[in-house]
Amino acid sequence: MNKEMFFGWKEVCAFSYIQTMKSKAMKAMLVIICLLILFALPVVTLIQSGHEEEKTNINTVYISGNDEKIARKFVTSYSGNYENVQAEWISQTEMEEKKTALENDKNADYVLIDIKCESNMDSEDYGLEFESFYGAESEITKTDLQNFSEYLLGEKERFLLSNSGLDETEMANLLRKNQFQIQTVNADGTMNRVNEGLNQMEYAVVYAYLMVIMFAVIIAGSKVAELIVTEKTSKVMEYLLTSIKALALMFGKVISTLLIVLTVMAAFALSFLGSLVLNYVMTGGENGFWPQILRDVKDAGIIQAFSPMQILVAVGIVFLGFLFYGFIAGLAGATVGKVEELSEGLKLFTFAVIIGAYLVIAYIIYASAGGETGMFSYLVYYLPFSSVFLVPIYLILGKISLQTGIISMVILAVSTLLVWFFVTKVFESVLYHNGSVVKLKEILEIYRNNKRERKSTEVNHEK
Amino acid sequence: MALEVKELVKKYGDRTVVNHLSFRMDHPGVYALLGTNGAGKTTTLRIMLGMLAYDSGEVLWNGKNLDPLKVNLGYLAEERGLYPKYTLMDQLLYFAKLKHVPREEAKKRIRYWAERLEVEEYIYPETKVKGRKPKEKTADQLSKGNQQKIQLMAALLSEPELVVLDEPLSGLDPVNSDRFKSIIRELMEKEVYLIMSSHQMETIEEFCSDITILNRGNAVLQGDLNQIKKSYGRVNMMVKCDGNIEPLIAQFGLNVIKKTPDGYHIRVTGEEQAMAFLQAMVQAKIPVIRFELREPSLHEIFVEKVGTVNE
Repeated sequence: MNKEMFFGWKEVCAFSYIQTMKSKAMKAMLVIICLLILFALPVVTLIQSGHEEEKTNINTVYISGNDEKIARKFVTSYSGNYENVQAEWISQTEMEEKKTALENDKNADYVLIDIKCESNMDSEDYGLEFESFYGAESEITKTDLQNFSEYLLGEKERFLLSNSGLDETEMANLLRKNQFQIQTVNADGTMNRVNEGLNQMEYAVVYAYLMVIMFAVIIAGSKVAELIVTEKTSKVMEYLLTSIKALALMFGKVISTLLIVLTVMAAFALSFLGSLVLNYVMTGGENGFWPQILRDVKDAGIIQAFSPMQILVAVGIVFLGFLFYGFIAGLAGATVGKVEELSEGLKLFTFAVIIGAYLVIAYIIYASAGGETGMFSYLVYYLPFSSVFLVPIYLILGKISLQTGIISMVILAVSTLLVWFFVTKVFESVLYHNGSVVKLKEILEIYRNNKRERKSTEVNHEK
Repeated sequence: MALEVKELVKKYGDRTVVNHLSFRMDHPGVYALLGTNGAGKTTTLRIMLGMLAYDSGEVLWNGKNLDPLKVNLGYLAEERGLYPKYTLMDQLLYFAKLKHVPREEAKKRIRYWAERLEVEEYIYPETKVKGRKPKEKTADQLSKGNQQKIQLMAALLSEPELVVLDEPLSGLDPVNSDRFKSIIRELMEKEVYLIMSSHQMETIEEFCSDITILNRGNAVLQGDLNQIKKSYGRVNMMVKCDGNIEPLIAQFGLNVIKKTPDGYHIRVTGEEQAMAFLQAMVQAKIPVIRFELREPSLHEIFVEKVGTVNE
């Protein structure tokens, strides 16, 4: 392999990138989606704030319970949407009377909450049980009561700790979210978190990453195949191959689609950022839906302190993953004789993506359930089809060691090289095929024939 | 400089599509590859251009293996190719860049060829629509002939030393056909090496000094076209008379190739027999309107050679 083999990849990359970004379809898609992202957050916040301002129909809450000491803790001043709601303690007898009164009272603006407390630790019912009642004929709705019960349960710990003699700081410390992490200390002094499964937030983050990267890989792969099949069916390919090697042509195409996907993602990210700013300005810094999610991710403390090396390996795996799938998609594009058959030709590529993504989905479901993953972990980390969908985010979350990440990257790099050479070996032969879609078996046959031909050509040149 | 193809063999499975083909081009000019459909012309050209692997043989340029990335060559493919949705200027600049032509130089050459081929209006649109900047044309907005012109421009932008033209005139109207021919003449004057495949025998006769006729991958006739014709001798006699010459034809035992309102096309054994026949007509007082004795045309040689082999 020499420098000439790669001549022209930059030109191919630049041309494909510029022409794709210049196309009307791309411009329209970018503008529409960016606008949707830009205005989605403020609109959601507006809708939500509208709902929040909707006042509850509950005016009074009558609380009773078998354990008066515990139940009375909930008779307190409420906050937020319920700051005007009056809480009052009543006896069990009064509770029964008020229940009866609810039957026909259309003007009943109160709800009843009966708190049952089981203190026997051996009992199946150990703990607190909230039973609530409202008048079916009254103005109070089921939603009013559901919202109030959510509020009550959310603030349960605070109510129970109230009047316990703790000051505000002590209360805040007690109410903090807790995490227990297990780490191993390695011989070289480095430490790694033991993979103790995925908690809910980690699961959400890994799943979100998987969805984004899978979307990007599919978009990039489809674009590579589309570019190749367009050049093939319009016969431009024949002209191009007099100026550039198939190896460089394929590389240029894959890199250009990677850049296209990155540009699109960057545009989406900027729009989202713009949306956050807009939302902040609109709400005057008040909480919104998405900012809350971002805060939750931060508060969950799942993102560990990572080194630049970890970032580098994670980015490297994403880059190689795009190349790996890009070359497979390129081959899929070359096997097609007509643009209409592209979806059929892409079966091979789609199948590869599905295998990789489904393995990761199965793995994270199993891991979040706390199952012992064992060999399955190594299969998912090291298999080139799946590693790009999991390893980068696991590195960032500190779920795997840097060594595991590097091994995964090396395996992916070698696989990508092999796929690249395999694809370019059959690419030229498949390019002149104008019949029905070339099957995998036929591709392998072409590869064997080409290998034989090249050997004999090389022998002749040597002579 | 010289182009040499030595013992080229290409097989698809058990089928040999190019069978030990050899030819040499020692001087600039036009070399013709002729053959029926599927004879192996395009496959040979693709092998020469490095697009297809081959089983054995050599393609040499100045005694070294022809590497398309090192030799400045232009290629007009049989199946023309342009990006349908990209503007013509964008794709021409791209093709030029791949051939190492600097951008500004490429623009100058595009202007020159656009004027030469009369396609400026598509590359440099001038009409403003509603005060807006005029829109450049994309390839799919052009007729097939105009697309072919753009394709020829792409092939010539790098001022190549070796030009491969696969069926360059197919599908062109007579005006554009003449325009293409004049460009081929211009390239010949510039001492460019041209390899051309064509079904149009008149065009080949007009330009080519050397030919190879291919049939099912085999070279059935090769060499200097004039020599080939000479070797056949002047055995084609065209006769048009104001009278019946059929008794004379029967008397001489001649083979009538074709009888048309324009006269008889008769195969003779040589000039002596033709002269004897002319004398016989004069003696029989048959008014002769036209008498012509000529070498066989390339068309006739082609049909004879390919027909004979296939029989």
